Amino acid sequence: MDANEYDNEAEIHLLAGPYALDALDDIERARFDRHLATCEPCQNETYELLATVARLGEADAEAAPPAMRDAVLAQIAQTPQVVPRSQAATSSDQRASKGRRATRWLGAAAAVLAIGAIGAGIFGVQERQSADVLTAQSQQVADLVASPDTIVRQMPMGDASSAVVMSPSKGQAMMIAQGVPALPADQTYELWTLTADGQARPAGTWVPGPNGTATVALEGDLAGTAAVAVTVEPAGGSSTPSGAPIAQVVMA
Amino acid sequence: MIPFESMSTSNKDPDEVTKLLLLTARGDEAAFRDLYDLMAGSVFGLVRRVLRDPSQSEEVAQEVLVEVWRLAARFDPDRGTGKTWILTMAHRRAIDRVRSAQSAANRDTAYGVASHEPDHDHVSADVEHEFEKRQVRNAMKQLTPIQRAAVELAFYKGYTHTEVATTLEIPLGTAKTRLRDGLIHLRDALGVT
Ligand SMILES: [Zn+2]
Repeated sequence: MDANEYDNEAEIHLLAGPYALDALDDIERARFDRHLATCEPCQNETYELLATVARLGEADAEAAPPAMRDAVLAQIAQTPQVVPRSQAATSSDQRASKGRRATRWLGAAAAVLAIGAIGAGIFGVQERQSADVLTAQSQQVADLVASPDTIVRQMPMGDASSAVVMSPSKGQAMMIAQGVPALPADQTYELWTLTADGQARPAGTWVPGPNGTATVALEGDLAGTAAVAVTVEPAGGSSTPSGAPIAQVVMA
Repeated sequence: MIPFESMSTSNKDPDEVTKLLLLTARGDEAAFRDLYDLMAGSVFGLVRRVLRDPSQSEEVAQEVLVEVWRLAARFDPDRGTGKTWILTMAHRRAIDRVRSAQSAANRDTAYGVASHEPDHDHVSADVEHEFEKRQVRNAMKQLTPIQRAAVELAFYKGYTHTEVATTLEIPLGTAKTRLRDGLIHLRDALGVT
């Protein structure tokens, strides 16, 4: 190795300071991120220096504008969360970060959910202009939501938004989605229920309506369902998933 | 003036923030509300210290807090406290905004950071918070002038180490070193572990 390379190698350990202060450009930040993965002293130093920077930040605390609280709480009510990296299919995880725009959604179903008190906190009250498209299916969702043990989980799906509503006591679950891209005629979306030991059980095929929305009742036995996932399958569906899920949510 | 009740900077038990963030990661909206009440003041204050403009700061602080909700599952408690995770995100967002809003060329290059104390047009009625502020101020005073200038330019104004070097007329390697040893000094002075 020549002297120059050696300098660079030694120098990279100095970057924890600029890194913690966000004073690196993107290329160096990426380079230091890679370095961090293998250099334990730098890891420890970085955590401590980030904590130090946070202390500097805390010293500037001041009262947040009162209106901000309502604004944030309203927004999170319609913002799907990413799932932990370990549980996420890489593709849906990456695309979820692009999907923020897709979180205004579910006009009809959300209006129904908002009436059902249990759902109100999950989706927030939406614009009501889509109330005219209330369907029997969204009434079904509302009935399901009214069940006392119902779990509602948002399920990021690329740029689309979806949620799964499940009542273990009723043995029923539904998926509602908006902004779902159409598939070629020889493909279909398929729902799966996953057991805690990772077994995938087919829960029905579906395609979005012309406006990209879908309200689908999950089929099959829901007992032991730890997660729900969606894959793209050949038309007609499959009995085991043929690829990685495009969406997945933990229901436990 | 902002009413005292809305101050959300007191009694921030770090363990509490971390705990609430872990609950938030599981979709617990009630936990997020509590987390908001503990952290919104720090997030807003930090963003405002960097951006200065109140309405822009509110916009960015709001984005940060929604990101806290959205990305909570990425928080790894083994890598530091919830508070550090949240404030790191807040700082980065504020810095990104500064950098996109102004090119380095038209950022004010005169070195005037020492005079950039926070505005005192807001209430800081909280004794604990005053103590924290004084600690940070005292720790800053212990730095060498170059260390302090480097840290303040990077932290409060979003300068990259290259810009720090140019502004302070020091070699780039020195800027990197000063940013690091300045922070290490602050870490020790503030008793950060
Ligand atoms: Zn290192």
